[in-house]
Amino acid sequence: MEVIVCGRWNRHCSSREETRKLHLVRNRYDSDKASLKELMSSQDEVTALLVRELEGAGVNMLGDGMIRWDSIFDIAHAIDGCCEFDQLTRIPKTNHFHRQPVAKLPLLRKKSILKQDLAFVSELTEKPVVMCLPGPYGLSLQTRNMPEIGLEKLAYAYAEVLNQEIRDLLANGAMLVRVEEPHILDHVQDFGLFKDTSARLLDGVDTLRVALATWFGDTNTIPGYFDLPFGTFFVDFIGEGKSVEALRNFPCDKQLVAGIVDARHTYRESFRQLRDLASCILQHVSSEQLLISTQTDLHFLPWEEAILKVKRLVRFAHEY
Amino acid sequence: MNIKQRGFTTPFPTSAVGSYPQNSEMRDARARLRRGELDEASYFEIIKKHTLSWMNFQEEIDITVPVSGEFLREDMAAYFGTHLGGRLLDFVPSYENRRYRPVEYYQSIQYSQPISVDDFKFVQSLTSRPLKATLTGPATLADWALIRSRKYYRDRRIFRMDLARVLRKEVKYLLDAGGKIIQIDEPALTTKMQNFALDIDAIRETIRGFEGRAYFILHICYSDMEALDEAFPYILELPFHQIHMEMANRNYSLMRFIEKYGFADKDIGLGVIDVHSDRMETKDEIISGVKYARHYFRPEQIWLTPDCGLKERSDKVAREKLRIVTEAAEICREKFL
Repeated sequence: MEVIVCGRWNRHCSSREETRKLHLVRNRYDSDKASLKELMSSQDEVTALLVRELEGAGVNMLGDGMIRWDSIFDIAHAIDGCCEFDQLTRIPKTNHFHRQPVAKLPLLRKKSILKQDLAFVSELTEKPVVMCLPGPYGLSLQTRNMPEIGLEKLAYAYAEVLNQEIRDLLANGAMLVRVEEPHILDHVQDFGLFKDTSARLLDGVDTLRVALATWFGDTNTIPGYFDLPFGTFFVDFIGEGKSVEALRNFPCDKQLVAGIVDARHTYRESFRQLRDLASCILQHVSSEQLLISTQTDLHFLPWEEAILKVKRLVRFAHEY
Repeated sequence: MNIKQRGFTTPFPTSAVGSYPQNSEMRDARARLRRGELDEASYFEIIKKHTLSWMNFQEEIDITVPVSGEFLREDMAAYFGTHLGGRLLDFVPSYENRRYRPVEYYQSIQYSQPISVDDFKFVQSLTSRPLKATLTGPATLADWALIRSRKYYRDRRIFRMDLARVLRKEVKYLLDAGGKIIQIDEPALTTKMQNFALDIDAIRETIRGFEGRAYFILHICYSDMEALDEAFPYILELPFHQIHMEMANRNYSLMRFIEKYGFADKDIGLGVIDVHSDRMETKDEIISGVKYARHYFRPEQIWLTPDCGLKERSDKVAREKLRIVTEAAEICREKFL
């Protein structure tokens, strides 16, 4: 059983020199007392540190921790037509916030968004790399003037831009691009639109290498969810406990990344609990289809606790 | 003003939400105290110095209901959580480069003595105005917690009610110490709607039986709009005299909930200052917001305040923003009466 750890990682850690330095450099940068070059250099150091630790923990596929990004929705800064970024808004079901973009159509991809990040992390590791993007649906909901533009129009506009980014990342070595769309689990009524924009998002793309990720909800509420044209699904099996039911009709030609460890609390699941959950899942998918991970990204936890969770997950994967 | 009556008689009272900026001297002192490099007496002297400075400033700008500034609190959840048996872990992100230390609950909640009462009594002694006491509520303490305890991990209700029961004791101690205005801070109330019913029960328990003894404020902020739409009717049913909401950050778009659901004849804490930006609001902007609120509230029901705590701003910016609030209130008293 293989372990994937990707997405955001908490860069605020007081026990590592690189992270302490980054916090200070960033503060200085925000006060115009440090250059962008200094900031990026410090971000690179933390990324390199994270990759070393994840490799040391034994993960099989990894991401770069998105150390450069305060929020995944900040990729909107690189989209021509997204502006203002004033109003602070909560990221649903979290204690995280971001400054909402205001979108002025048409939206254009100014330049590659994550290609530089991908290039950097690819130099650091031989392991397959997973790059992460917000999906067009969630990004639309987090855009301040979505009601004025209209959800459908805006989601399609974002899908066009993100399609180009996905192509670029896959062409430049990302093993997998993960698109996160946790909002859809609470907006089942929009699933028709979601399907259509997903098709646009994946137009011309090798869908086997694009994953859809959701969390903090139950995919069982959406009939046909796993028929979406993604090759891999990241599913959260923590908390609600019903998502295993949704695997009844999981396609045999798709991969499942099962989030079986809580990423929001320091509670330690016993190996027996993990084994029971994995066994339930394996009643619906084959072992070849299954990879394991945490329920969502580990940026909710302090660095030390997050690394412990990863090590535990890897140990479980070896022993199961 | 008669605080024990429903509401106030002063039109457009002014206040702050709770926190004021903590400068490097305070943060360094706290870090040194933690490392054992500074004794407690010296630490408290530094805190007192800053508290006094802000109390004097609030008098200077004639704020109606001052606050302590919460200088003893590194973080609103950590302050209470670590006094309730939790332990502080390393930093986690909030937004941009902001971070905070979460509290891990690994054992049952414990409460052996009042947490904020001594500070309240000291700060109240510095002013003849009624000081607003602030407590972080059970919903927020629970939502921001990292849970290791199996008991609390498995049963969210027990966790919240255990928190609520001890916070109720804290409320009682504050009342016994002369607290007339008590605010329960619940920024996380609508974060996870699957917990909302439990959160509402816990908040209700926190002030149960005390509703007639003081003026109670519920502070909520930065809710997801859809969640707030679902939660609003239930929030209005809680026995608070005032609900405080961050209006400035949203360009007063939160007023739509008042238009839709009413406000159950409660007073409104109208957030008229964006606390996450250095941009200085103009008095005209604030007055425009108050004019909007006047469609639904009497002048004495509209409290002019910042959106939330001012901890994230510099001392200079925070003072200037608060000054503008009180000056705008004065204009409102001339304009709308």
